[in-house]
Amino acid sequence: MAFDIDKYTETSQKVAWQDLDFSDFREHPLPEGTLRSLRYMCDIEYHTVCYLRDMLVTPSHKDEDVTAFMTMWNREEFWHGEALAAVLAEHDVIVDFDELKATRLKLGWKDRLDPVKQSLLGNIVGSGFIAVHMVWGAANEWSAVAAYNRLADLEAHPVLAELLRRIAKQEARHVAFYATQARERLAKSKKAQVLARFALKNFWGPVGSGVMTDAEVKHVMGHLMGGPDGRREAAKIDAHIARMPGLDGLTIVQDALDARGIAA
Amino acid sequence: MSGEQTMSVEEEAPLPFDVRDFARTAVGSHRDSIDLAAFAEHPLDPGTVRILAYMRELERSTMTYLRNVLVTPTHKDARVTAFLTTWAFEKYWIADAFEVIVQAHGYDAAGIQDLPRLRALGLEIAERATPIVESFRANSIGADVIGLHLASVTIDEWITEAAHLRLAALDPHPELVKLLATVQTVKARHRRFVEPDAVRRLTDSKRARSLARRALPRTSWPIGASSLRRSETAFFYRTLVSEALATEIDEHVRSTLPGLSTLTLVSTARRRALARGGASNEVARRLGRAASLLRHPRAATAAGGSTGSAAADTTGATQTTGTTDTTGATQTTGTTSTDTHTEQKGGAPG
Repeated sequence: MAFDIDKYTETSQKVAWQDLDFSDFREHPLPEGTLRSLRYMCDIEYHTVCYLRDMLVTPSHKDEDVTAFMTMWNREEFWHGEALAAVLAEHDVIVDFDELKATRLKLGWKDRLDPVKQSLLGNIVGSGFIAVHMVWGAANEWSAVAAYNRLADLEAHPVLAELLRRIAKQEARHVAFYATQARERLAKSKKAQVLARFALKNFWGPVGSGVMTDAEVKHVMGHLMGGPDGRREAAKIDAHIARMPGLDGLTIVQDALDARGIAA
Repeated sequence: MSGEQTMSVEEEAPLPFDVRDFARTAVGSHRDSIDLAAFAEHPLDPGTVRILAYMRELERSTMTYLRNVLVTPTHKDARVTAFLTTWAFEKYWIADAFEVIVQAHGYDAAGIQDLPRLRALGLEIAERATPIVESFRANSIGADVIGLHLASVTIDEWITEAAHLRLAALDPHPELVKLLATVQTVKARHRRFVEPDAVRRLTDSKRARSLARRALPRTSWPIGASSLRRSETAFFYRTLVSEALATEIDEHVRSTLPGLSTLTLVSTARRRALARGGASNEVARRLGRAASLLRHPRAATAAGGSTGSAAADTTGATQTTGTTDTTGATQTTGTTSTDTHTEQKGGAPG
């Protein structure tokens, strides 16, 4: 299934929530644990630009389709941050740019693959490394879709659920891009398969690990991926990844849950 | 009445730039407002199309720019990254608008990025090293680098603004003029963010000023030009940025951005672009000269001997164009239309 980049860019929009009655949150506020997860998701969405940077230091930045996608993707994710910030604001949790800046300064942005390492590695390995990025991105976007849908189910708050489904729908388009790119690139190169397998197995971590504290990562993982239903979602993400050329048998999401002692 | 009031309010208290409002009201695709039939009926001058193809590449180079900017502490400033996110989005659609028009004229823009082999290799090495070098260097410098980045966008926007105004004057096709006016409104907002922010950061920090003074002359202007064919950058300057205009922009840089009073960025970039200078061109010239001697021994004998360096230089210069142009046939056509364009329109308006 080809991904139509022109169609994607033409239809890329900021997620809409103005038509949703957010004042409902004042009457029916969300529980503490949910707000904590939302805050995590909100921060991660705002920090997408940091992922963008990690992607750009490799040869990916030269491909016109990839740069077109990244321009739109980065903006859509920013708007997810804005939408979630608006929900949090109804609960008097204010997320402002200065505070985000403080998070980035305090914790430092240490994605598993930092730019220097990536740049060195990416440039040595060359275009095969784009495949790694694409499959990495796909794993993250699959996680995002699962997380938003799962939170919508768990909370069953009509306004929140509608917003989260809208966000998940956009994330699904990101999945389509990354997965298509990853599949094509992996299928073409045995070397890329070996590299992707190695990178995912050894370096992948749940979205946000590295920039958020371990306590927060653990809370969100437990909240959204814990228990039998959560684990089922995690297994689905792993199954998607394992269907990629050369990646069969990988269970990176479930491994990450096990490593953090998240109850099944 | 109300108009006057608005004016005075604007003059008295410029509101601080609202990044969230900017993001909310970002301007996307221009496709629906471009009347391609008007171009079919009255096509643009070939030189204008060539410039638009070049400008398309400049607008589309945001990801390469961000690549070098985001590895520095600039990425930690959420307000700046929020701006850059929307800025890249709007520039993408400006590039798209130019592309639509270029394609409608059947212009083959593929050659713009085809660089002579030597330069391509140099660029490749530089591109691979830049984020690494930038990361180490800028992270040791710290937040002062943000001032440099905002100053570079500011200066680039000034160059672009001047170029757009000039292009609209040279080829006042109503559809083009309309589009360029829209593009300028979009870009005016970019300037409203980057300009005061750059001024503030440079004013506040001596280190930021000194960094900007050292780093800005190393940038190829306009931003994005470093990965495009030199012939196209030369055409851009030759057609749109006269020496007087370059000086004017430089004066604006010096009088607006603190600490840059010694810089002549645009004049220097213009001179370099037009001189076809640079190390790789010198190499190409020598290679070209050698090749011409090999291929045309008789011509070489005729021109050679004590005729001296002047004759050799002429051959060299011609050859350089030849060497560069071999990479793309489009280019040769382009070069011809360059002169036509300059001759036709060059002297006309201001």
